[in-house]
Amino acid sequence: MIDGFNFAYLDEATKRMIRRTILKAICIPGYQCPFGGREMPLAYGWGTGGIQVTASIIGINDTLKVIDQGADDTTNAISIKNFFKKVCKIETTEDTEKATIIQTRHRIPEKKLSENQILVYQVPQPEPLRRLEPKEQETRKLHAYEEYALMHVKLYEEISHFGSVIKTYAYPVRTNKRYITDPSPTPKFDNPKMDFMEALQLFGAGRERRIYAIPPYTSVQSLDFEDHPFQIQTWDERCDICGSNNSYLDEIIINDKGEKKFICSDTNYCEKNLKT
Amino acid sequence: MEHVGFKNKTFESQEAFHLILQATANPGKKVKFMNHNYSQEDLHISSVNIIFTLLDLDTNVFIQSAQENIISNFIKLHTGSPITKNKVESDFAIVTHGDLDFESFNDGLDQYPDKSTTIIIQIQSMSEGEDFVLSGPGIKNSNQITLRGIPHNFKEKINSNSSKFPRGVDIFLTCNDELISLPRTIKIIN
Repeated sequence: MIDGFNFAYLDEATKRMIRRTILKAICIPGYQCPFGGREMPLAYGWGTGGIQVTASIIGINDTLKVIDQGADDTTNAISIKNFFKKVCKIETTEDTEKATIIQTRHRIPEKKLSENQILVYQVPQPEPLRRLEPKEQETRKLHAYEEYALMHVKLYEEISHFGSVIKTYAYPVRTNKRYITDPSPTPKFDNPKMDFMEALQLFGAGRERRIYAIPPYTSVQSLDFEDHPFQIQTWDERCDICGSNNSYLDEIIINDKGEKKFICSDTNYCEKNLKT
Repeated sequence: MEHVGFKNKTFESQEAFHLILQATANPGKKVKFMNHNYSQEDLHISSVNIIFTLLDLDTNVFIQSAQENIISNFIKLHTGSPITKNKVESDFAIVTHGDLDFESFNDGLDQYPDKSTTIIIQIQSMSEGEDFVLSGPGIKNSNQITLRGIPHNFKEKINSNSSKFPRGVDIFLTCNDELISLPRTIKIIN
């Protein structure tokens, strides 16, 4: 642990404030709780919200896993893991099952999470209605009065223009049959995993200074219409490395001729799948 | 006591918060504080752990107790929280004696339901007394708890509180070193 810093970087008063916010966020599933976001030693957009949430809940006995688009070995994931190693001296892991806290940028691990794990999302824009209504005062009212027609009209218009909802990531969900919530820009492939997930889900948006939460065993429904039910992505291909046909696949261009391969986005899942 | 609050603030408050977080994410689950190092005659160990972990200069505290002065001095010394006589102004309320109704506390605003009061209610027992079956987010199917020394018409009060969702108060029940959290989403179904 480096000298001159408190455990987990944040000072105790800040942690207390964030902890109070997290508790209120759990009590009101899907509601965006404002909090006094601090400046972190990395740029907005790199996970400042997620880091503040993780820093407020992490203890010396925790094991941290950080993923970026499902991968354990990308710049963002490694930097955040190194940051917590430096300021907490905690164990980190790439193994989804061994982690007690998983901080994620835009994927939910393929492996089902358990009750004693916490999933922390890094969120760029917590407000699902922002592109439809730019004013914060207005979106607050829309949420308060459960006035979600705008969102349904948007989805309807996509269907009438394109034949289906074209949003493939950050696909809006309804949490506990009340608040429309942004699942952060995870692919809609991951949305069904959020429904009645056994792990606690916490969302931190650093620039926008919002924290929201979904408790374990909570209903999370992707918005859809009876005649146009919600569907996740599917692939005709299999993972080029492990051969999986049921995980989320990334398309990789491998040469100048434009030839491509598909590989699992979840590197830990892929590795384990390869071994078995 | 030579120090205020936890002696080792960083780690003791993280441990306590971890338990409070577990209790709140899993309503009805009884969690036990292992930290018995801090006590105050009129407050249970779990209440003291919550007070040290969550209260500070930014939280207004309302106290309902036969020992109001003693508790008030204890909180002022250890957390610096302003004490208020006005329930609606309170971020946290600590109730050790007497009946209470949740209506008179702050249940937040339509647009900011998080501005509501969190009420810490000290009760007599979490192993004997009246049975309640809970359901709501965080509970797999249903969860049964047994309580004694709770406010009158507890079931009606909890259910009328949760019917106001997203507004409403959140409740911590404390007894000795144990805590049960009842967020506003929780209904008593039996």
